[in-house]
Amino acid sequence: MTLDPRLGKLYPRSWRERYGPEFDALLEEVQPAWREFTDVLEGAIKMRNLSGTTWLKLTTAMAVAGAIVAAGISFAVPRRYVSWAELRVIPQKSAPDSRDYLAGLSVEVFSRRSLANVIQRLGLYQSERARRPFSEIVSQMRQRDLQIQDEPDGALRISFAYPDPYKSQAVVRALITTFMEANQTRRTAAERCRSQSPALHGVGNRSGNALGPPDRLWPPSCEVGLRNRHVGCRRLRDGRRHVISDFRSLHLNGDHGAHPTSQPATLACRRARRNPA
Amino acid sequence: MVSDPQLLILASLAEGDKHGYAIIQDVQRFAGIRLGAGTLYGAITRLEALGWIRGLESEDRRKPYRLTAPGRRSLEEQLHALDSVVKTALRRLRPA
Repeated sequence: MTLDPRLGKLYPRSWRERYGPEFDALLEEVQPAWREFTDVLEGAIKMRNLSGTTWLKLTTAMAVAGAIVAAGISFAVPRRYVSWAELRVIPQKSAPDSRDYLAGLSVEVFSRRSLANVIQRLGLYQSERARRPFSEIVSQMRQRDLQIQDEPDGALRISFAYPDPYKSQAVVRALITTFMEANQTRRTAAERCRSQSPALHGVGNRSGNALGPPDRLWPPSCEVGLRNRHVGCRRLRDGRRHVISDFRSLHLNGDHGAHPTSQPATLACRRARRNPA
Repeated sequence: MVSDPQLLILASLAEGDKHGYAIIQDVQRFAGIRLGAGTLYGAITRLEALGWIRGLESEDRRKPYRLTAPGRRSLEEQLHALDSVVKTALRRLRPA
């Protein structure tokens, strides 16, 4: 990599006629660095002052230099891709408290242990893991790259930003899969609980107090304990079950899960088609 | 530390003809200073205007430069002046 020889064009024409070719040759040889870039820029300004260049020309030259700097910065900043998906709870009977249910699942899915598993399985942050403790990498993932938002319609939006678009997609897919598995675990536990605890039918709460007529209590709902993964039974107040039966990825073009934050979306979609994660 | 680019270039060319990149490398070697391309050619422009160096013909784009006789005299004068400053300063630093 070399300095852009076009930098030499910032110098006055009369100077370039004498020194231009050899100066361009030198720019091709020196190591590209900000210090070198600013040195050439400073040299150009001094030469233009010596040659009596008008302020208008100088301003134009500086505008060109600014454009070159901006282009350099845009290439230097690493490109990041954001993938996202939306989870929606479909109530089975009457309207459930879906936010609470998703929040409960989120505790499990976005736990440090779960995210550490995703990082290791997908080989994320390889270079950073060589320099920093793994716990810091997990914290960085939670705080910087992973975004979890409650949508106005009660859905949960999960997004993840990463330099590799395919890994970005893979992370969101992994988290969605974990969500679905956690939900399935709860449903299975609920079914087992229901079949193994017929005594709950019309009996009442844990303290044995009567709760009401049997037809309002059946079927009793059960779910998996969140914190310790202990399968326990708990009767929900309204007997409703929450089932995540519909999840979909929302993307710019409908069926692709990554788009670059700084490039046209179609580019990433094409790349995603060639090599889906 | 001597950091005048013109003096450093003259000192480098005192050894023999060199083109721009060779001067940068030589100065870095003997003075520990990395001259930027803009600084180098700013100094070369002034030195050539003073007649202390001159560009040689070359088939390559990289044009070598040579120290002229006035340039050599100027370098000697500057180094003597510098030597005088250095000796005086060292003498004054010695404990009485």
